[in-house]
Amino acid sequence: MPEAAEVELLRRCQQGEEEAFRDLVERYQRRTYWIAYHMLGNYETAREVSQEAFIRVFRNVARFDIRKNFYTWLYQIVVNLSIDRMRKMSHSRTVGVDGVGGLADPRPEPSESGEKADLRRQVHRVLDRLPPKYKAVLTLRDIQGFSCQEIAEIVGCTNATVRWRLHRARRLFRALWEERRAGPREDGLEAAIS
Amino acid sequence: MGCGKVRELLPLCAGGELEDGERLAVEAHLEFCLDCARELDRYREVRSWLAGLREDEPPAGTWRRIWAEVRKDLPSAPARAGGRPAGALAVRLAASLVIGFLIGLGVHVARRSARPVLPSGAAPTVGTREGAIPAAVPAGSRAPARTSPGGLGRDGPESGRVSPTPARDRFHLPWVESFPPPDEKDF
Repeated sequence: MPEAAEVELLRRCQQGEEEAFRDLVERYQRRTYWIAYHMLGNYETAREVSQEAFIRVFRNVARFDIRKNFYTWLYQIVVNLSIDRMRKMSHSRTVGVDGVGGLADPRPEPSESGEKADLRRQVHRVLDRLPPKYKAVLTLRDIQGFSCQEIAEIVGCTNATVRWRLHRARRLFRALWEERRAGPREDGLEAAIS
Repeated sequence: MGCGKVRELLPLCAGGELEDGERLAVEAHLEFCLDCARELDRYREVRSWLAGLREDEPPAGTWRRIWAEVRKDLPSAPARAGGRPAGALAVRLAASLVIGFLIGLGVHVARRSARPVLPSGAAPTVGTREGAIPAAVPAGSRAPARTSPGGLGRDGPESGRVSPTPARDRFHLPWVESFPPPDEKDF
């Protein structure tokens, strides 16, 4: 059940109060953005998807049942938009050095250097190789920390399905990571694992 | 539980998603199987790398840009500022117009029924009886009975003068002596 303050905020949003909607955006923009970013691996695209998610929320908030958890609805929109964008991007990109479906943005991420930054880049590159539905559950569980039940509500499947996808996603991630470790180095960078 | 079965469960064991029975069985196996224990450590390491992605900062101005772009779309959204859905506003506007029309019609009818039928000022034979009943309007005629300072009610036929009909009453049919005056029974 949502907290009373949020219910009141949503009620004001449903009445068209811009200030209330701004409060709602500020409350959820951070997590929304990072879900999109970890799904898409690109800051600019993540921002666009976040914007689109909030616009869709505003257009449909009048029909939202405020007795339900708002974040479930919002993050469902973000995940679906991210998956749609991933599919469009994978169709328009050529196959990268990593293999099929590499979506990692070639532009360097801002203000990052050192081993931690290298590790982050490597993790992102492996994450980008996962199929969308596995990437979604891994992002929501291992990066964002949602429970399996919450993930089930967000992605619209059962708890058992979420656990099965997590199982497959972690095994696949591990296999791809080992493959990178065993394969040739990319861009002359040392692997970030020992 | 053998290594094969345990290794199947290790990805979920690393995230704490196992059922209690499975978890206890895996933990019991790990107490004496180092290979499986190392496998579990690798899965936990992967999870820690992924969790490490959580702490990050977006490019400067990201939050401001998100709100600026979202706000551009707000005026075109169905929800209106002020809290009134468009459909309800249209209904209220239509109701106001109808009520205004009915009030105006009522006022118009009331004015017509209150005015006397004043004769035209051009015809000397047109006149009205002194003391004509202001409300004495023949049935079916449009003229309300009313006297006015410059109206014919004061001058009367005895004076021989006819005051001009006020502009607002000129559309009414004039009295002519050839027509009998109305009686109250006509109403």
